[in-house]
Amino acid sequence: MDEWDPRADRGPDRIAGAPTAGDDDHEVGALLDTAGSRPEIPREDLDAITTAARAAWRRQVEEVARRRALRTRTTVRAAAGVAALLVAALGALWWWSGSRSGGPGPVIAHVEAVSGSVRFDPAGGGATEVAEGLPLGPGAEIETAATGEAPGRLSLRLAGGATVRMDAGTRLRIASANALELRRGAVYLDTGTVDASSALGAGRIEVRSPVGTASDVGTRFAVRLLEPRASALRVRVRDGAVLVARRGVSYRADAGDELVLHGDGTVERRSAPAWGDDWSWVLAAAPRFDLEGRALTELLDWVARETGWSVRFEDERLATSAEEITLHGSLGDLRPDQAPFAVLPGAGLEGELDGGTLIIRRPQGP
Amino acid sequence: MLAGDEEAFEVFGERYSKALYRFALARLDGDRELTRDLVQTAICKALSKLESYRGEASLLTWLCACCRNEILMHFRARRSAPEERAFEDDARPAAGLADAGTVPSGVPGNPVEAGNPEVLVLRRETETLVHMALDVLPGRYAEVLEGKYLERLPVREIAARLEVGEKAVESLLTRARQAFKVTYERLRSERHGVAAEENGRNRRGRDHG
Repeated sequence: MDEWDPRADRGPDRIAGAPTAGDDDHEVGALLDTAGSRPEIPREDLDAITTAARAAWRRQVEEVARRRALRTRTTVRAAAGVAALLVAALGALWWWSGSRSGGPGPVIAHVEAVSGSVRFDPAGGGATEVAEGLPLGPGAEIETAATGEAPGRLSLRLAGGATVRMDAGTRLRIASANALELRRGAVYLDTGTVDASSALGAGRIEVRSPVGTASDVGTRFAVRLLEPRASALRVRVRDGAVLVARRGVSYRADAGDELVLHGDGTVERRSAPAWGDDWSWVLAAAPRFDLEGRALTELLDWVARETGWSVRFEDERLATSAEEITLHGSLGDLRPDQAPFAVLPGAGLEGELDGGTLIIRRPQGP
Repeated sequence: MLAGDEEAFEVFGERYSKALYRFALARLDGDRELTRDLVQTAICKALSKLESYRGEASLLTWLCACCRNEILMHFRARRSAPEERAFEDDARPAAGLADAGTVPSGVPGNPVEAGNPEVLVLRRETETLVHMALDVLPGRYAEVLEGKYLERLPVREIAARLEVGEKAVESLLTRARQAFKVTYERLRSERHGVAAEENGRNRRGRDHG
């Protein structure tokens, strides 16, 4: 934590060109003299910063503890013959999560990533700011700030494993682990990772709206209520298929389809690419990818899944060698469409985007 | 700190928030409100990513990078010019320890300084770095250095103020000078590395544009 290196105390010979105490005295004195006294920082500013930092730190400590608890749970599950311990751990986690979600009943979703201003109302308990790691119970209503200074975006994971992203200016009620009620704006669902064995995740996930209901058939898709007055529902399917129902009639949309249900009863169908600007808000709301120790191929799988791009290696040998490459460091705030271009050079490779295909190759000579 | 150590957080808050505040204030033309907001956001984001901090750079440098990013994003969102100025300011070298004796000392009326904006910028930069280095020094190091070099107190008086013996003050001063030098040099070299890289990127971007 300390900024200075305690090894420096062993003697001045650690500093090149500053071998004597007399030099130190002169140099440090001259610098302090040049700089003068430190201006006082207004106490109220420091207090405001510290208060916000403390809240962020506590959230992070809770998140780390939660992840450790989950890792512990996984380990315990893997050990045959300790089923009783598993039940106790899950029970404790259940109780802990329930107490934090602001009400009784099961936790059916967790917030994975938040940007900008996002508020939620835990089943009528009064609105509050959303933080990463926040558990959500049935009936929780979430609202993201509209596009502007700090547009709110959010990614949450339902108990069954599906992920849900909310665009800025969206209002969504989580009715249950399988039913979302879209009141305004747009959501994106990825149900490709649903754990079918989870009691909370079983069954299709529905996005209900005043105009119609979209339900997944193992897919990734976006649902947007179109203005004015949320009078039409647009469903875009990236992968798999979606059933959109209205007044007893079902319409199927497959990968690459866009369906628009208008308030006057008409239905439009057209094709929509799986990548491009229309999906950029989904990338902005994506949870971070933990790079450290992961294989390059894992990163590329994530990029492909998030962006809708297909990934192609220049040749088969390169594809095989890519499986051996392990990555280190952190992506920071890089989005999925930016990450490969930052990471590939470090692995001695380069990427080129050609339409919706990311081509990986070795750098060409001068 | 991520284990929930309250004391570690207090140290973090006390030392680093002051240094970051100075870092941001120098880049935001003294706009207190904006500085407070951006430093708040930068620290909160940094804390949420603290697990990913690998120690390649010093913690303060890493925090400064987060803060610099927040400032750039702010100006980009507003599409205003100060972004360019921030890069340019960063690229100018601050005084090194070896240069300290030759840096204009800020004597009022110094003709070199009065007529040369670059010297003024350089001096401001040095001031900020020195103050940031003092902010993050542990224990009583900053106190003893300021007593000796700014207030020009004799060792006897510093000893009385700190309620320790004169020998202890001498020893404390030696360690404080070393710690200050290491911190200041590291801040200076790391910041110029980042600044040069940003400047190059910026220039390349302009050339391509």
